[in-house]
Amino acid sequence: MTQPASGGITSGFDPRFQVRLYEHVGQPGSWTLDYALAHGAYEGARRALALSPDEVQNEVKSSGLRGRGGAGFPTGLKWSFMPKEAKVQHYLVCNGDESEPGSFKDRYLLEHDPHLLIEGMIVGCHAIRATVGYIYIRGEYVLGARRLEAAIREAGERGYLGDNLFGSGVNVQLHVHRGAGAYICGEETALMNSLEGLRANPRLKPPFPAGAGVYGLPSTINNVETMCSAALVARHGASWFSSMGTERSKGHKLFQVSGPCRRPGVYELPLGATFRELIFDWAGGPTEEIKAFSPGGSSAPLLPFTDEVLDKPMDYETLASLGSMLGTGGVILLPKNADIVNMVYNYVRFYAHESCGKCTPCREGIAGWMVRIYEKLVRGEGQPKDVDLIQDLCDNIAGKSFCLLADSCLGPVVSSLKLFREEYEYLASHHEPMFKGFPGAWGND
Amino acid sequence: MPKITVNGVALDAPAGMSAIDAVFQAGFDVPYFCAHDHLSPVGACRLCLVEAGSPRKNPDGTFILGEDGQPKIFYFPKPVASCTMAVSEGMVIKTTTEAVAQAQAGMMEFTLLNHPLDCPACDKGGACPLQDRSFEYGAGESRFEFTRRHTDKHHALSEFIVLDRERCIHCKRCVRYFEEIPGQEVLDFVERGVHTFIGSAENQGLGEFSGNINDICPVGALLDETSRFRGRDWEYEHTRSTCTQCPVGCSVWLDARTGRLERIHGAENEAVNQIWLCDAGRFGHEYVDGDARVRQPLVRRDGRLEPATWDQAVAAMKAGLSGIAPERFGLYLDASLTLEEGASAVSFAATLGTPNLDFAPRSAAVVSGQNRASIVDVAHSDAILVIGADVTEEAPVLSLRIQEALKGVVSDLRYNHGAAIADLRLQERMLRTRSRLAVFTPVPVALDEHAGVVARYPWGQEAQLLQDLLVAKSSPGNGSNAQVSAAAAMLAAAKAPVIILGAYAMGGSNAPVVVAAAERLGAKLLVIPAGANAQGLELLGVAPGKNGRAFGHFDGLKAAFLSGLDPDPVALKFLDFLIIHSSHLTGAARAANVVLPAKTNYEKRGTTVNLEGRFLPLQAAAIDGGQAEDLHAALAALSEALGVRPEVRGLRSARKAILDRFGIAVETISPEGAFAKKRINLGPNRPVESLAGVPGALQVIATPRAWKGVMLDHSERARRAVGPDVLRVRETLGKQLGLDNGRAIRLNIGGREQTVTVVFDPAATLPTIPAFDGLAAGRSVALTVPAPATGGDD
Repeated sequence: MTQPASGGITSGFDPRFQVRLYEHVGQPGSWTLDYALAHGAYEGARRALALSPDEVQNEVKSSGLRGRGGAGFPTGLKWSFMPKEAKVQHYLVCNGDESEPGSFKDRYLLEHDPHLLIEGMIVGCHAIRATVGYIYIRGEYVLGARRLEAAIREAGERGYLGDNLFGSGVNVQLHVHRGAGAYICGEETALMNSLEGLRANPRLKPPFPAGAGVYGLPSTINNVETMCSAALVARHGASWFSSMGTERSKGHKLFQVSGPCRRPGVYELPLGATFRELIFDWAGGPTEEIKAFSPGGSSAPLLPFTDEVLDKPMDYETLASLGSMLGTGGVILLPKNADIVNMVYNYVRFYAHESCGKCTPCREGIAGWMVRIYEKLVRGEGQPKDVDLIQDLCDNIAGKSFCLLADSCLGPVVSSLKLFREEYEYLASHHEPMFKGFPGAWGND
Repeated sequence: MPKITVNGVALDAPAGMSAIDAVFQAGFDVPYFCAHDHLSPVGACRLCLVEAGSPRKNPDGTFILGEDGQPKIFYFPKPVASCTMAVSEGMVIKTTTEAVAQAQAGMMEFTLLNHPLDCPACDKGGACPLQDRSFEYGAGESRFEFTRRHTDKHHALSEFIVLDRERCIHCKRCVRYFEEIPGQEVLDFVERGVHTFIGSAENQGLGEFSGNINDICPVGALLDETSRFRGRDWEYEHTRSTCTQCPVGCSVWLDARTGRLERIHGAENEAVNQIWLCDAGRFGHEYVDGDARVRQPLVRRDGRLEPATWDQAVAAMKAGLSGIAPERFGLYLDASLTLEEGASAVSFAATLGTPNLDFAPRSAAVVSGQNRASIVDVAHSDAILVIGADVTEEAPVLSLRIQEALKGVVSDLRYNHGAAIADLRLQERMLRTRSRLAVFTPVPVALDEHAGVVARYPWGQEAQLLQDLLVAKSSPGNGSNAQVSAAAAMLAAAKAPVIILGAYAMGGSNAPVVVAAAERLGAKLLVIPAGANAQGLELLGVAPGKNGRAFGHFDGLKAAFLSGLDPDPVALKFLDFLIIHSSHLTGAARAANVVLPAKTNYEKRGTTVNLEGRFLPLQAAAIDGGQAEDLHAALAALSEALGVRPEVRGLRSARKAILDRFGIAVETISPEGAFAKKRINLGPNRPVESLAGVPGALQVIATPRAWKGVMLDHSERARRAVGPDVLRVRETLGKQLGLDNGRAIRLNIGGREQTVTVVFDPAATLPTIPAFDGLAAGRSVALTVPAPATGGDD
């Protein structure tokens, strides 16, 4: 287990901690330029543009910012993979295709603080020597896309976006691209295909985006929250950012809680805060008995809802050591009184529906087979051998698919089999679930 | 060169080699469906799983050592797809472990999950990679207990291709093929997940090279409609031969059953067609068994052609030719006849003592071979200048090799197992360097789409154009226009430039001037001849002797023997006695005194010379042509009738004559062909005289086309696929002539009636019609347009 660095802010109750990412969410008119300017927007961009691209990269590197889209790759390091000279067009792409069940943090950033994202894009574009940025937003985020487009227009009209920004000679053009509703578009290479107007199938890596990305040109893809965090790093400095978090997981993060609890929602906390703090202190605690939870969105393997786990800090390393992942920070609570097979069926249905069809194990294994075995079990038509079959399919799929979508589906499947195999076996042999309660009363009390 | 180990076998792997190629190079096997020799690796089927690991380096650059003092191998935690992984120094690959076997069997189970068990009714059965691989690597049984996917089993992608969507295993080869090889984005996946299927946009044609997807489909999902349900693979007699529908000379498999030619598919010939064929060469074979096939001799009695025996035909020829002096008799060959048949004809003409010997169609110049480009040169070229050629129609597969050059990845990797299974330099949607291709033609051509420089020039002005290019090349900036300057600059900067000349440039009698001008540009030259074996016959000396009559100029003759030719009725009017050696009852055959049944080239043994001068063998497929005979036998009958005994009387003696002339023993050449060591120096180029005999109101250009008239006339399917013959004309000119857009009219072309549909096309600065058989492509012909109908229906 990773020990918090001495003095590192690892609790939302630490008096030094300030909410920054969501500072303006919920404020009237927070999406307008006037509001943003009155609250310090674009000061970070102004600072960053006064630096050289390499200096910006180093600033972000030293802040310890890691990608908030799920994988947690160090952002500054990612930027440093881009060519050191812009001999050809470079692109910065912002991944706003937030589609993972349990994740809904980027939505409010887009809707309530679009100028923070624009500022982050300016910082990122400068750092990777890109003059064009694309923001790919999932199609269902209509309000977010509208507000972002309006914000880009407003910023452009008033000199906060466009050519020769703040007299620095740096040009940045931003474009919003709306997806058509596919989870796979959150995979960076599939996103690039979709952006280019092609079928959203993931591409082969290598070449990696920094070598050949959008339109075959050097590109970097970052999550919305990552870009916003980068803006905050530029505004408040790397040391401010790295004062929060644990030794290797720096800064703050947006955590989401869904499922039966008193106050489900998005909570901004420093990395290293415990699950207990998030679920009990901020989200008000469960409204019924919980048996397990997804710690980082639907792909993250389930963890048992035990005191031992609840007291663990939420950071990349701890979650990895628990056999799960921090992912998007989307915590989904699974009630004890609901059948685990039924709940996991819901996960699997999602992945089966979203499988892009490119590779065999995902298309046939998940979308063609696994989901139907779950359906059969849930209908009470399963047999004990089906449980072994699910386990066997997991072995045949794990690590063998083209992209991570199939493995993401296996996260809840494998972990639920490990934690609650008796529920599977009960359902398969008794043709009725061990727990009959259906999680229908979720929501605020 | 990285040193790697595959199952304990040490290997020096060339840098960039894929792991799957390393496995095969080392003599082992893994299953694969999505990887393909000529396509980009995509890693979609996930069958080629192997265990692999590499040593890692310390910060100081030395390898991390294990306990045994050897570099420690860090294995990937899971099996990896070998087709998309490059080998690296010290890599260890294992394909024979239990884990790999388990992974492959598991993946095979997924692959077969929704694949129907209709192998007994599938055309691919017995020649199906999926069958073979599931037998070798599958578990033998599926644990899948749900209903398999039921979807469209008979989706007609085109007139020639049927897609069985239930059988598709989503390897994406067909989708990638269209984008990567002919450069047409016509297919893609539709829907997603387990519902994914292959589809095309509505009303979208599949282009001129669609049939290749049948060959590369690893399952029975894409099938040839011309042979669907006609036989199982093991029932066909497979004959490897060479296609003679155009001068490329693609290697083909001719599959015949019970005496019928059922299907044609591509054979591998890396230097010529790789594995690709055009649709005309692949699907255009149905005429071979058509009803109009002449299967026995016909002799005119009382004004009517009646069936006869060969002996009766000999008697009729003897009677008809008696008293006709040899110099009043002509012998004319189609340009696709074999070299051996040409040798027979030359020998016959010499023995008989007639100077009237020729072949058609032909152009006024053949490249003498000083600086001739090969097809491989084209594929490797960094600058290709096409002048007056519609490559896609005249030599279709050559246009695929041009596109290969634009991709800039030369498929030259050769391993123990052949071409690289996964060439990691290839990528999906690779950028094509269009600036390597310049196309100058008098009318729009299909290749325009891929060219960086596209220009139109006035028909017949090739010599001037080449002169302009020469000026612009020697003094940059002095181009007569921007395109000329750009093309000249492209040539000047290139390391291996190639110029391709075709029908428009070679059609006129100034072709020798054009060739000479092109040679001065300093590039290698590739001339597309007018017929499949035109170059071979020209080099053989199938040409008029002193005072001899060229083909089409029959005035002064009394009798003629025409093999495979169907000239205008106007040209035939001079002849008293006409012998037609033809596989089909053509217009000329109907006018003949004696018709001798001819074999098609699919039924012959022989040799053809393709556009690059490569000698390629023809083998006879097991086709029942009735009493059809090749030219050797037909000339033997004629010799008997005339009482002469030529030196060359069959294949063996013909091949001796060819050996004497070319220094190549054609019976020894491999299916891939060979070049002759001896250069043939021809005398001065002989001119081509215009065949357009009938003056008309409308001057049109005959555009080349891959589909021969005989293919379209005897196959309804082919006609439906190609559509009606079209007269393209600008609206203003069309209206002046009283034509209506979309209306079919009958045209008189050289005395022959043809039905064409009028299409008003703003791009038709010159009116065009397709080059019907007997009408030389690239030439200008005068048409008589029927007077507009008076009186008003609508």
